[in-house]
Amino acid sequence: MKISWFLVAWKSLQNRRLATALTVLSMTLSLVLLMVVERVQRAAYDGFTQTVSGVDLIVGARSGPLQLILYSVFNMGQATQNVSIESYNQIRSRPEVDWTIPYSLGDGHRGFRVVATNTDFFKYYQFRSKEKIELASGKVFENLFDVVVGADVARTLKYEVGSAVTVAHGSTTGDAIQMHDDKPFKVVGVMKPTGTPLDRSLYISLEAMEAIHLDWQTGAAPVQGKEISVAQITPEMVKPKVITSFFLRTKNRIETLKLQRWINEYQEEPLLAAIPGVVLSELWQTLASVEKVLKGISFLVMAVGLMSMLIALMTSLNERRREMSILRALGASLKHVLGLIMLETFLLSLLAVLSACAIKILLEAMLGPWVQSNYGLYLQSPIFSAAEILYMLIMICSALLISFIPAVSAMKSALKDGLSLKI
Amino acid sequence: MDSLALQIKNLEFSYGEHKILQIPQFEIQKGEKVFLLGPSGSGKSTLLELIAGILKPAGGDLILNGENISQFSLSQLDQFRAENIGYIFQNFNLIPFLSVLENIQLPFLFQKNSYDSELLKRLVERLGLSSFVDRAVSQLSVGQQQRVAVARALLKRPKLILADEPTSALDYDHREGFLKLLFELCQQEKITVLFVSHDRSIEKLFDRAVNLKEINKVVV
Repeated sequence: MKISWFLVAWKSLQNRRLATALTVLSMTLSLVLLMVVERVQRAAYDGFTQTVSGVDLIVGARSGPLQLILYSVFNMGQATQNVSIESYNQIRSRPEVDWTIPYSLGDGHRGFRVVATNTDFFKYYQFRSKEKIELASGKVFENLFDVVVGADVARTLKYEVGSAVTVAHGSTTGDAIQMHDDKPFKVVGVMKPTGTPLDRSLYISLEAMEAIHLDWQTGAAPVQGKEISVAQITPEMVKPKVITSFFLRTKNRIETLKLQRWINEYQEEPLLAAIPGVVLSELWQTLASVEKVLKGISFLVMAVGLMSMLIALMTSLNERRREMSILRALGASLKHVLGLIMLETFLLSLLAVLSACAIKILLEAMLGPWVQSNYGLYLQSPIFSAAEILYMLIMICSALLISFIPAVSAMKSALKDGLSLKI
Repeated sequence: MDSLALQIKNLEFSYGEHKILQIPQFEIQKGEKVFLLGPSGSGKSTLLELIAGILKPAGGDLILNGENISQFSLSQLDQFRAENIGYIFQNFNLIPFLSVLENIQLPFLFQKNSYDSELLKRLVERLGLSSFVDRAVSQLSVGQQQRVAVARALLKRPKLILADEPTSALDYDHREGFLKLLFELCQQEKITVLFVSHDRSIEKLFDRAVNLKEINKVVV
């Protein structure tokens, strides 16, 4: 191989391979940490803001938009008021409305929420970038006491098609006191994992929700002798009277704001229409401070990685004074000495960046599916975001910048030592 | 055509207040082999560094092959050194992590010209390094290392070889053999040699011996 600057720098690093390896390792790990934080943050943001997509408005009884989103999308908290079926039907039949998905909430099953809806839910509900709900097995509900379960529910409770389910009254967490055990449900379908709160719910029809509460009065369990058995139920009896909230899609996005105002000023009933994307982004902003702290710490770790590089270079300089004298005698200028140290630093940081990329790709390939199923974090493409490429450039540039310190110091001692270094 | 390889006129150099050298006149003919002796600390190494262009004189003229390098800028000096001067150290001549061949080629990193591979082959052969070229220099004996240094110094066809006690680590027999070989190779290329040592036992092999005390007006 012909002699070249690259060869000299490379062999010099190789000559100090332990220090080089440790330096590269610390730089690599700091970069990996930064990229992991970035990646998780991106996945969390995407997952969060795209928990529901393709929905222009979420409509419920008048409360706060945040509360409406929390109980409709995130299974958190309770609705204080319902929406009458008349108002729902009136809004649904407006010409600018494309489709709606009604939601009736309030009951639970062993810690999971029971959502009463209709088959439009399976037809229209979207999450992330236009992904639809798919069933892993079975079919959507058809009969009154059919239930479709989310992926988490099926996995945690080991349900499959045919399992029996008893709905608990008024409870979405923990064990309930009162059970709708007179009207058991049968699992007819299991949904595929979505990585959203959808996985942690059970889905029944609006009519079924009505049916299990037929004999209940003012929120209390039926008194003896007044129970209505399954056989006594007629279709007329289970027509839904109220729902909790509904998702709405307009035919044309331009009409969304107009429709939102119309709903918010609706005279018959106090209603609230919220734009989910706006509320979700606002909510994320309040959660984002954690992410900023994490990112700050990661940058500090990167600084520590660069410091370890600086220390390794500085300590090597003293041993290399003889080497520098030889290079000087052979015609190396002070600029050559400076350049050699910087080239070594560049190689160090390049190695660190390349190995960080390799580790990142490997980690994602290995842990991606696990993170996805356990934390609902979807690692979406591209593999390297602009921010990550920026971090790599920052790493290389600051390494080069920092290398001026040992480079200038090498230059100074080369100038001072001349050719007659006594050791 | 000037027949002088080196011409010094009123050369002065000091470290801060401390004057080291003041040489009114000193000349070396082209192709001459000069033995420069003087006790340790007499300024021999400083003189070599001035001639090599590592240090800049405080005053006077330093003319190498007709070029007055005392007027050169630092980068001109580096360039001049890379192209015209072969330097051989007392010991630790070689970069330990490069192979023998890479060490020999090293000076060509600092100049635009590429080396004459015919000359490289001849030098390696003549210096008995053929079977070592791809070895790590740490596996070589001191004598072999010095021969690598000679090959490296000669490959760029320098005008002047500066040697700073390169034989002090060798025993007498090897010293004489080493010098004879060096002179023979320099003879072919008409290279001037300035050899610094305090070991007078090899003095007789040179064309001329100069004591630094005689040409330096500074009393140490």
